[in-house]
Amino acid sequence: MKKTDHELLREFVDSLHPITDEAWRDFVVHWRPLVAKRKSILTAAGETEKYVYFVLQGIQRAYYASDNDKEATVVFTYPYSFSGVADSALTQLPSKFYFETLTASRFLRLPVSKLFELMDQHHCINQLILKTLALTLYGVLNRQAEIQLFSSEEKFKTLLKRSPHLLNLVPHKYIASYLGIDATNFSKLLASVEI
Amino acid sequence: MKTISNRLFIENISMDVRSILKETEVLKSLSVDQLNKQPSNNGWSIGQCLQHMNVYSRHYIPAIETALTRAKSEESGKFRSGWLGGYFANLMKTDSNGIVKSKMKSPKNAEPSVVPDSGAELIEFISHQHHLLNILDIAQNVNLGNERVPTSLSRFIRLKIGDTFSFFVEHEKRHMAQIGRIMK
Repeated sequence: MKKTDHELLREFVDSLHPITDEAWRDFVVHWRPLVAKRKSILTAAGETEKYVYFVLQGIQRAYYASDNDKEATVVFTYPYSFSGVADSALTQLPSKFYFETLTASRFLRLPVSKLFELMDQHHCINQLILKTLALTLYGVLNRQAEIQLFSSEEKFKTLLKRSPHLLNLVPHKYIASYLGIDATNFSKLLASVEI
Repeated sequence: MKTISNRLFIENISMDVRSILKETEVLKSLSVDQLNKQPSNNGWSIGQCLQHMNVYSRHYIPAIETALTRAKSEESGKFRSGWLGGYFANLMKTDSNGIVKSKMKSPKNAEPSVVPDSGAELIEFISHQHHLLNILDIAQNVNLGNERVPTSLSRFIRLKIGDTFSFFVEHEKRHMAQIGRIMK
């Protein structure tokens, strides 16, 4: 039986840190659906992130745009996970990144102001966010080590293992940017790994 | 004219504004000379385009804000474009290649100066886009069809708030496409 969007959200939340039924009732009502076309910018650099997103469909990325027209993709998100510019959402400081859809996407999203209220009202929700943040930090530190130590080929293999579907759906230039290599070297890498 | 939910309508326009912001990133690295360079077809320079768009922002953003303060709050409002507003917005549109559908001369009061302070115009332009995102956010929960905004063309021509947003952003997209062509 196909799961509803709310069931998917509940399952995801439970996998991180289960919340009480009472907290869930207060929590779930504030998530509103959103559908966005491919290449829609949901948060611009300089804007303060207003939402926490839960990805139901599609692939998104957050990237830093430098003024010499170069971009650094810092993360890809896809179902089922939280998305949006997390640090800006939690600090309420302007985002340094652009957050955009790479393919048509569907989300549930929660206003950050509501999240803060819910965190105050329900201890388990506060714990949920803390746990999510801790796991995100774990990922970011690991990635930092990876960037400094792994070769392009190793980074690519790690990415493929973690997110195999990306290759078919994400334009290669963004994957190359995520790996920190230019497009031509990426084509060579792709050819060598596929063999 | 189709009816659309306020949230969807506003979200679509917001995404257009964010795309415009993304396009300004590369402009930040250009020198003042590059911003002021006259393109080969004797059209406006990038600086002049920015200044022209800023003139519109200086009129429209405060005017829309005023209308928003008068407009009724609405949780799940719907918006239907007026015929005049739709007409104006369509006039501004470019096709998917960024080519304008109808060429026109800009109104006298919006002609840019010969050599604007392009660095300052760019900073101001970026600031206007962020202001726009802020008022768009507010507009999500406000009635977009009743209160009207006087156009810069004539204060007797007044558009619905929703149509003003459409027209304004289509106008910016038109000039951003122009800037894109200058950059090539």
